[in-house]
Amino acid sequence: MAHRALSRATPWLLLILPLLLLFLFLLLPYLLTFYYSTTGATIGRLLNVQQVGLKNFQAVLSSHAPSFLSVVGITAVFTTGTLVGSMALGTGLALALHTVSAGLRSALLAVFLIPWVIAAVIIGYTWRLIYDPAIGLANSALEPFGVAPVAWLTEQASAIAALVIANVWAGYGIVLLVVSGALANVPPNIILAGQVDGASYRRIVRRVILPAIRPTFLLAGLVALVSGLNTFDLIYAMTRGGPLYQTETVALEMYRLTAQKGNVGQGAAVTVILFTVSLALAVTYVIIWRREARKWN
Amino acid sequence: MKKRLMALMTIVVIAGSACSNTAAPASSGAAASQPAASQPAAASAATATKLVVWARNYTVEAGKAQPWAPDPKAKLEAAHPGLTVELSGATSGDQFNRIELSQAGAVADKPDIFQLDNIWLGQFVDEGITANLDSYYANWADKSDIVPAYAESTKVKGSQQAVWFYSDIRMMIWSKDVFKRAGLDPEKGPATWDELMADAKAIKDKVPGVNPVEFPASSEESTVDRFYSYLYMTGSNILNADNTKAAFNDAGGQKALQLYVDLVKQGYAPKAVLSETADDIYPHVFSGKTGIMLATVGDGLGSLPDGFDVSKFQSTIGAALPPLCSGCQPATTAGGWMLAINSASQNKDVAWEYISAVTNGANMVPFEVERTRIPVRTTGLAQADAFKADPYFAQEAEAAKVAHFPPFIAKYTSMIEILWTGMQKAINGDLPVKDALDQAAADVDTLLAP
Repeated sequence: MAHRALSRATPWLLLILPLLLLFLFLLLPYLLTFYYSTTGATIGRLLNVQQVGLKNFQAVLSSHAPSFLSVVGITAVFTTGTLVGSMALGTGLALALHTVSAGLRSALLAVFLIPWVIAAVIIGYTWRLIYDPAIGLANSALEPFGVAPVAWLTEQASAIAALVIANVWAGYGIVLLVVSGALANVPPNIILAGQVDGASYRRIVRRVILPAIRPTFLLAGLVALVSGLNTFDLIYAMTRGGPLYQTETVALEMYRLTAQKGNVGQGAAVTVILFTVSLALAVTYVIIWRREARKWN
Repeated sequence: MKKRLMALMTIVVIAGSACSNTAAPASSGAAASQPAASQPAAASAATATKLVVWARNYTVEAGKAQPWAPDPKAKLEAAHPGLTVELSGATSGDQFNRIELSQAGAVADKPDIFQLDNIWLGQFVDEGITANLDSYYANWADKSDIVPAYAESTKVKGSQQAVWFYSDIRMMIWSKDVFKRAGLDPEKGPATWDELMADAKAIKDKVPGVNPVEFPASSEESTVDRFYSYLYMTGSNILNADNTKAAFNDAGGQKALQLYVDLVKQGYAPKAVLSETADDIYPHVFSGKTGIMLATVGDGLGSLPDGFDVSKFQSTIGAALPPLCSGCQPATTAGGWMLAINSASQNKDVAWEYISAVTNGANMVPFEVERTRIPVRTTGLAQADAFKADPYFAQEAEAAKVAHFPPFIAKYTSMIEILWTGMQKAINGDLPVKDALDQAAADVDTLLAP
């Protein structure tokens, strides 16, 4: 009897430690964030805080410096740019690597993944230097073509474009990795069949390979989307959301309110909003995935 | 059965130890320890007492001159048997966060002494983190050694709350190479705003591809910090006398910001300054891509680029007090670091004793020389020989005498965001100077309203 009870309990006992760690470092911070979003907590006062209901959300949504709508708009543009750029670059490189020998592919893959393993803050400062109007590489490269020095990070359009380029460079690696993995699993016989039928490589990619890896695309797209949505360190290192809040995204707003202004309550409210959007995207992904999976089955 | 029991116990032990380990990071980057506040009040041979000191990382860097040790620490520990001084260093951001979080109950230990940026003082006083030091100051012989411009700046709401540790001064710098190419005297920077405009014009006309003037105007602290000197020299101030309302939008403030706007409008400064920090502009001057940087921290020797030594620095860069407007008074801005005693400390007397020893002019000089920091003691400033490696020490010492300080208010970081946003609106041409500053002032007044 005792033997059976212990047998049943063993998996749970083994799970105690990971579950405890999961609770401490994942679930508890989530719960605390939700809790703090309804309080007047500040960075210097995290205990015995006053309950303020939804006032923090109201304050965030009605803020005018910057307006939350503008922050959401900038986030949407930046995220879309990151998504499109990362998917295009990552997939393009994966397809290009798919055409070379396995040995060379592994070596090149390792090289192309380097940006993905570098800390975003280092990438941010490096790109900031590249965009420096006086001594940066970007303007030096354009100078021989007679292009006047560009203040890349000063005007909103060029600043967001510059941030997107840097973030795509930082993040295309995950798309490359996921798509490369999927390409390795595409049955060679269907590609051969296409070649026998006289289809060009471009046509094979469009008609055979891409449809075969569509589920992976969904995953890579979601990862790129969420990474764009949550990017903080790179933007902070490059523009700090400025000038004039022209590059302020939701993630930066969260940091500015919490760490710079010490308004933990409002910062948590922004975090909850960002979390909800990310969750909605993830749920959408799961729904699409299941619908697609039904088709394949 | 026994084996399973053993396995079960092993799991419990591992889980228990893992939990105790996971608690360690939560107790901050400071050395984990028993709560200092729970230690006995006075050190004695019978009781072990720990004096916990939270300092900036570079002040406790091994192999470099440290103000804390070896002498002051050894002497204090010798004078108080059983006492151990526990020093730990942190970066600026981590230092702020660990002090703040220590009050929120998020870390187990609290410091007895902590080093703070002068701009944090108001907030820490408001939050009750700092101990009132009036009684210590009253009997402190070294009080008269503090540079007069600094002496009152550790007071908040009429009480002494900290002790100056070391300082840094804002100076104008220029590229001697650019000046030579523009036909200007490389040893003489502009002393007035009129000269500044004339020099900028000469550089613009004669040295193509070089920015005549730059100043930081991006969305971060150096934008306002480097602007203050120009504001102070006009007789303006950031806030009113009791720090309850904005004052930077008065005629003097408008005059100072108008200088920035005019420099951009006339093409002497690039609009790119809106996305540049002081750290971005500094290498522009060193590389000869910018002629004049209106204000920067005057510790050039502390952050020399690769390949620069003192003589190359001196032959490349000129430094002087920020140029004066007509009818204005010499002024600059000082920043720096202070030491405070935690209001919750049980070891205030011994903490004060240690602070007195550490901040002593003679003790500080080797550290200040190595790090090119500005002494806050007259005995320190008088040791020009010790600072002879710094070619501009004489100018910095003079500047220290006309130093001004940002207001020590709790909402300082929120306030400066409003100010730099107003400045950016004017520089970007979105609003006239007066409107931009008035709008910022109204927002600051709202922020500071009780």
